[in-house]
Amino acid sequence: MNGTRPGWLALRQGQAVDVSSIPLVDADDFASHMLAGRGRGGRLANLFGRRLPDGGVRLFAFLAFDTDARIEVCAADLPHGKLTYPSVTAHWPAAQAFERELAEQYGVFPVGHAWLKPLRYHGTDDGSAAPWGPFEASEPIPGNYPFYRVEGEEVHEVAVGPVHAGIIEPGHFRFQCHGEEVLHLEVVLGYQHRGIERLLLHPNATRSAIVAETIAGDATVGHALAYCTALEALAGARVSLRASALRGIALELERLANHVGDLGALCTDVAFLPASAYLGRLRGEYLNLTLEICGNRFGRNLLRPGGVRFDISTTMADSMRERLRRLERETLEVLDLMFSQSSVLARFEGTGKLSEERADEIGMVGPAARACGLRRDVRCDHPHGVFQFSHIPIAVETTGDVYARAAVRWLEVQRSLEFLVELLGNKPEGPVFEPIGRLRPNAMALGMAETWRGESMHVAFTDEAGKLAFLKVKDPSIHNWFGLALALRGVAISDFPVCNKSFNLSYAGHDL
Amino acid sequence: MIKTGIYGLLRVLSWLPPLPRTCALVMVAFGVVSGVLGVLYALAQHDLKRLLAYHSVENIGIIGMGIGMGMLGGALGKPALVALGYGGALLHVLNHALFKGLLFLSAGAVIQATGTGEIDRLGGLARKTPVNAAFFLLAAISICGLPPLNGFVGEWIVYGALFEGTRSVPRLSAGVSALGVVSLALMGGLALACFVKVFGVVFLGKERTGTRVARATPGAMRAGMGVLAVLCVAIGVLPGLIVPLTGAGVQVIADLGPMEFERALPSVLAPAGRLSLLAMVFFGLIATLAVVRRGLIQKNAVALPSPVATWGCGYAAATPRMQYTASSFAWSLLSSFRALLCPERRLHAPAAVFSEAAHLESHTVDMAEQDLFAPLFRAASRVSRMIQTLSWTGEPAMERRSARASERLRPFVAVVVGATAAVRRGSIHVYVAFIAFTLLVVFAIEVWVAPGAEGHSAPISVMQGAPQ
Amino acid sequence: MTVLRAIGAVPEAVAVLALPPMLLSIIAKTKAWFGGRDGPPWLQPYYDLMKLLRKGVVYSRTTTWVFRAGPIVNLAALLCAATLIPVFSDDTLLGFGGDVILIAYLLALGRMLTVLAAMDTGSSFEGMGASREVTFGTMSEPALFLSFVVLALATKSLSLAEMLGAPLQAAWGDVAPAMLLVVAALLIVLLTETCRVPVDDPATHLELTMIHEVMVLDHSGPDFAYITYAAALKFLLLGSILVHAALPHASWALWIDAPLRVVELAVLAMLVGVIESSLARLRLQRVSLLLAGAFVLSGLAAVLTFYRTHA
Repeated sequence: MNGTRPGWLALRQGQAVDVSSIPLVDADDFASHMLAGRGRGGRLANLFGRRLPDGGVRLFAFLAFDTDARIEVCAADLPHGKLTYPSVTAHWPAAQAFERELAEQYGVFPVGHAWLKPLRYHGTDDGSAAPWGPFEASEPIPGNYPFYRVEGEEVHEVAVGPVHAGIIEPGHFRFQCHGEEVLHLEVVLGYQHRGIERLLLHPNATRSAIVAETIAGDATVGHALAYCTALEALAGARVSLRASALRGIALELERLANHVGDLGALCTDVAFLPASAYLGRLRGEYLNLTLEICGNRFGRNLLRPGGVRFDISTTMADSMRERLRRLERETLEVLDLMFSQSSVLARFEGTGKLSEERADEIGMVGPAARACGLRRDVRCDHPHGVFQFSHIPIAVETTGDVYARAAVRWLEVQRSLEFLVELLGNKPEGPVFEPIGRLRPNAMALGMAETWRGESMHVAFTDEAGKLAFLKVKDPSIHNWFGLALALRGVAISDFPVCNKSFNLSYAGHDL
Repeated sequence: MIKTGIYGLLRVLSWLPPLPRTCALVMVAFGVVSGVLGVLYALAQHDLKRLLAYHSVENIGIIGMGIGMGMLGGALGKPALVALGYGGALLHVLNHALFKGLLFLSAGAVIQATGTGEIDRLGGLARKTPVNAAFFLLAAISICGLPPLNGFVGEWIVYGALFEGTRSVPRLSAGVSALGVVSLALMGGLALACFVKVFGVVFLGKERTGTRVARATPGAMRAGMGVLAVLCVAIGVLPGLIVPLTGAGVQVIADLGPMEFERALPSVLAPAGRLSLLAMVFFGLIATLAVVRRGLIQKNAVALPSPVATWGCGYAAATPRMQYTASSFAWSLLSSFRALLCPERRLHAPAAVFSEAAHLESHTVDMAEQDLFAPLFRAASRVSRMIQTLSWTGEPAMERRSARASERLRPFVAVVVGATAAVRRGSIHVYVAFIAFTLLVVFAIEVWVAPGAEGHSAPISVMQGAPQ
Repeated sequence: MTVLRAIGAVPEAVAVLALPPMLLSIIAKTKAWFGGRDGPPWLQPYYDLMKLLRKGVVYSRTTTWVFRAGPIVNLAALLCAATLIPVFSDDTLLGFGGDVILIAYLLALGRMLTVLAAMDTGSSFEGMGASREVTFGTMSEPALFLSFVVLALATKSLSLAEMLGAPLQAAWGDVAPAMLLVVAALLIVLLTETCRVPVDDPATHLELTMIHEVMVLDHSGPDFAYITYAAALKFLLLGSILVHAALPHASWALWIDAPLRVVELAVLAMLVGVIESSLARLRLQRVSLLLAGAFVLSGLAAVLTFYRTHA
C-alpha cells in the first residue's frame, strides 16, 4: 500500500486483518494523530470503542482515503478508571456523534467536546455514569435533555415529535424560533434504540443476517451487503460474479425505489400533486421488481454471506429489462415535469443550504454530501463486488440546497437505470450461493456499501475461536443528522419538512 | 385626553365655513397616515399600555378620516357625505371612549394582578381572572370594529362615507376616498392581528414567568368595566338609538338641518336599525349552535381518566416556552411592512458548528419620535437655551444672530417651546391651556378674515363683542 | 308578508346549506383525477361531518371557554354572512345597504375567534397557524375592499346583492377589463381565505407548513365538525361572490337560476382543483407578494373604473 504512515494500518474494504496488527497509539496523542491523518486528506469514516476484558476501552478510528480506495485504521487504549482522552471533536466536528456514542456506551469522557450530550438516551454497558451524569430511566425521554437555547423572551420554541403526523419514525426536533425563522434546530433521537449490535452476535449466522437486514428497513440490501462483505472477508470467501451482479441489481433497485419515492415525497411536501402521485406509484413498481427476485419488496432474505439466495433466470431478466425500459421512460418523463415546474423549483432552490466546507467538516456522506459538491460514493471510491467491473459515475451538484439534493437523486436514478438495464442483459454465469467456511480467528474485517442514503460500514471482529465477537454498524445517518440541523439555521420553519425530506435520514439506523 | 384635540377641531370646524376640498383631503390623508402607522406601531409594542396608547393614535386616524369626509362633503356640497363623515367620526369618538376605557381598565387590572405589563412575560390569565379576560375580549372585538359591537357601527358609517366619497366627482377626492377604504380595511386587519396577539398571549395559553402570582380583579373595578361593557354591547346591538343622537352633533358641526341628516344617511347606508336585526340573527345562531353542540357532546360524552394536555407530538415534558410569543406572532406582519416602520432585531445568532450563547431581542423605533419629535425637541431646547441666555453678552456670533432673530419672534417661540415642553413632560393642564390658546388664535384669525364669507351666522353672533 | 317570504326562502336556504361539502368533494375528485386516482366517494365530506358530530370531545387542560366558543362564533358569523350573500338568485334574505362591510367584518370576526381558540391551546403549532392566518387575512383585506370599491362604483350601490346583480352586467359591458381584474383579485382572495394551494395545502399532514389545519389541531368531535363545515361554507360564500362577479345577470326564475349557479360553482371548484393540481405551493414568505398582487390587480381595476365613471 502506498502512502501508509506509521501508526496506521491500511486496508481495503472486504479485507480481513489480524487484530494485533492494528497499531496502538497513546490515548493522549489520539486526537493529534487523527488530525494528522485528516491533514493527509483522510475522512473520518468510523470511530468506536470496544470494551476490553479488564474494563478499559479500546478506541478504533477509521479514516477513509477516497481517492485511492484505502481505509486506514488505528487504535488507542483507555485504561480502566481513566476513561478520558482529549476530544477529536474539539478540532474536527465530524467526530461529534461518535464521541457522544463512546461517552454514552462506555462512560468515556472526551475532554473538550463542545456538544457532549446523550446520543441515543440509554445507560452505559456496565451501568457506570456517563460524563453528563447517571442515566435516569424514569424520566420521559428526553425530558431532562440539556437542550440548547437562544435566550430572549421573544424567542419561542417549537417541539416536534416524537410522534409525527406522517408515517415516519420517532424523533424529537427542537426549534428555537422567532416569527417564522428558525434560529437553531436540535435533533434528539434515541427512541428507536434496539441494541442491534448485540443482536447481531447471535450464534446462528442466518439469524444474524436477518437482524442486519433490519438495521434500517428501507436500506435492507445496503446493510445486508456491508454485513455480508465483512463476514465473507473474515471467512476468506469469494462470492461468484453472478451473485455479485445480483447483489448489485438489488442494491440499485433499492436505490431507485427510495430515490423515486423521495422525489415524490418532496413533491408532496410542496403540494405538487401530479408528480407526487405518479412517483409514489413508480416507487411501488421498483419495489415490485425486487419482490419478483426474492419475494419481498424490500429485498429481505436475498443476501446472505456466501452469495444470494435467489437467482434470476434469463427470461426473467429479459422481462425485467423490458419493464425497466418502460419504467425508465415513465420515471424520466415525470421527473422532467417536476424539474421543469418553476413553482416547484422556486420551493427547492436556495432552501436549506449547506456549504461544501461545512459538509466536509462534519463528515457528511451520501447524496446529501454529493449535493454540496463532495465527491463521495463507495461504489466508486471503495469498489467491491460488481462495482469493480462496471462503474457508475458519481452524481454531484454544488449548491447544497434542497434542489441540489433532489437533482443528485434525479441523476442517480438515471444512472442506476442505465446500470441495471446493462447488467441485466449481461449477467455473468456461475453459482449464486456457496456457504462460507470458518471465520479467521482474532481478525477484523470491514464491509462497506453505498446504500441509497450513503455509506454504511460494518466492522466485524472475531475471537480466538473464530467466532464473531463484536460487530460495529455504522449507518450513514449518523454523519448526516447534524448536517440537517445546520442546514436549517435561518430557514423558514415552514420549509423544514421539505428540507428534512431532502435529507431523508434514518432514525432506526441512527439509533441502532 | 386626545379627544380634546378632536373636540377642538370639530368646534373650530363648526365655526368655519366649509373649507376648500384640499383641506378635507389633507385631513383624510392625515387620518390614513395616523391610522395605519398607529396600528402598525401598536403591533410592534411589547408593553401592554404602550400598545393601547398607539391604538389611540390609530383611532384618531379613523376619526380624522371621518371628519375629513365630512369636510369633503361640505366642500362638495354633498349632505350625505357630511352626515356620514361627521356622524361616523362623532360616533367613533364616543365608541373609542367606551372601548378604550374598558381596555385601559382591563389592562390596569392585568398589571395590578401581575405587576408587569410586558406582554411576553404574561400568559394564561383567562383562567386566573376570567371576568377581566371576558371584558378585555369584548373591548378587543369592539376596537377591531367587529360586529355586533359598537366599534363596528362607527366604522360602518365611516366606511359608508368613504364609499360615498369614491363617487364624488373630482377624481382626486374619489381616489383619496378609495385610499381611505383600503386603509381602513388594512387598519381593521392589523388591529385584529394586534388584539389577537395581546389577548392570545396575555390571557390564553400556558402561564409564563410573570403570571404565577396573579391576583383576582377587585369588584369595584369589575363593576366599572361592566358599565362600559354594557354600553359597548348596547350601542352595537341597538345602533338605531344612538345614531340619531349623533345627528344632533352633526347639525352643530355642519349646517345641516335635522331632516337633511335623516334623509342623507339612508341614501347610502340602510338605517342603522337594520344592524339590530342582524345582531339578533347572529345571537340566535350562536345560541342554536351552542345548544346543538351541548346536546351532541352530552350524548357522546368521553370519559377521560385525567385532564389531558394539548397535543404536543407526544412529547411529555412541554414547557411554557413552547408557545408563540407576542413578538413572534407579530413578526411576519411587521417584516411585511418593514418599509413603513423599520422593525429592528438585535440577533446574536448561533453561527459556529456547535452553537455558542445566542440571544435575540427586537424593537421598533417610532419614526415620529425619532425623526420628527426628537429633532424638534432638540431644536426647541436649543432655542430655549438661547432664550435663557439672551441677556448674556459673551455669546458666539452665530448664536447671537439667531438670538436676535429669536428676539423678534420671542412670544411665538415661547409658545412653541412651552407647548412642546408641556407635551414632553405630559403636564395635562398646560397642554389644555395651549389647546385653548390655539383655539383662540384660530378664532381670532377666523373673525378677522371671515366677514366676507357667508353661511356661519350662529358663531358670529357669539362673537358680537369682538373687535372688528 | 315577511313571514311568507321567509318561508319561501326555506328550500333555497336548505339547498345553500347542503351544498358546501359537495364543492370540497368536487375539488378532491378533480385532484384525484389529475393524480390518476379514483379519489374518495362523492359524499365523503358529508360522511366525515356525520362522523364528527357523533364523536365525543376532548379538551386540553390548557384551554378555556374561548376554545369552546371559537367554532360556534365562527360558524354563526358565516351563517349570518350567508343571509347577506347571494348564492342562487340575486336576492338575499336580509341584505341591506352597506352589508358588504358587514360581510367582510363577519368573516373577520369568525377569523378572530378561530385564531383565539387556536392561541388558547398554548401550543406553538397553533400559534404558528394563528400568526399565519392573521398575517394573510390582514393582507387580503385591502384587496377585498378595493374590489368592493370597484363593484360599488360600477353599480352605485353598497348592498352586495345589487353590487353583484343586474347593474354589474351593465358594468361588464362598460369596463370589462376592470371587471376581469376584479375577478382575478377575488380569486386570489378566495384561495387565500379558504386556505387552498398555492397559499395553503389542505391535504398536508405537516404541522409546520399548514395554516388553517394547524390552527384546529386540538379541536375534536362536534366542534371540529362546525369548523370543517364553516370552512366549506366559507368556500361557498366567497365562491358565490366570485361567480356572481364573473357572470352577473338579473334574476331569472329560481328553477333556472339555482341549477345554473350550482353548475358555475362546480366549475369554480374544478378550477380550484386544477390550480391545486398544476401548481406547487408558494413559499410562505411569498404569499404576501401574491396578496400584494391581488391588491395591485384590484387597484388597477379601481383606476380603470374611476376613469370611466368619473369621466
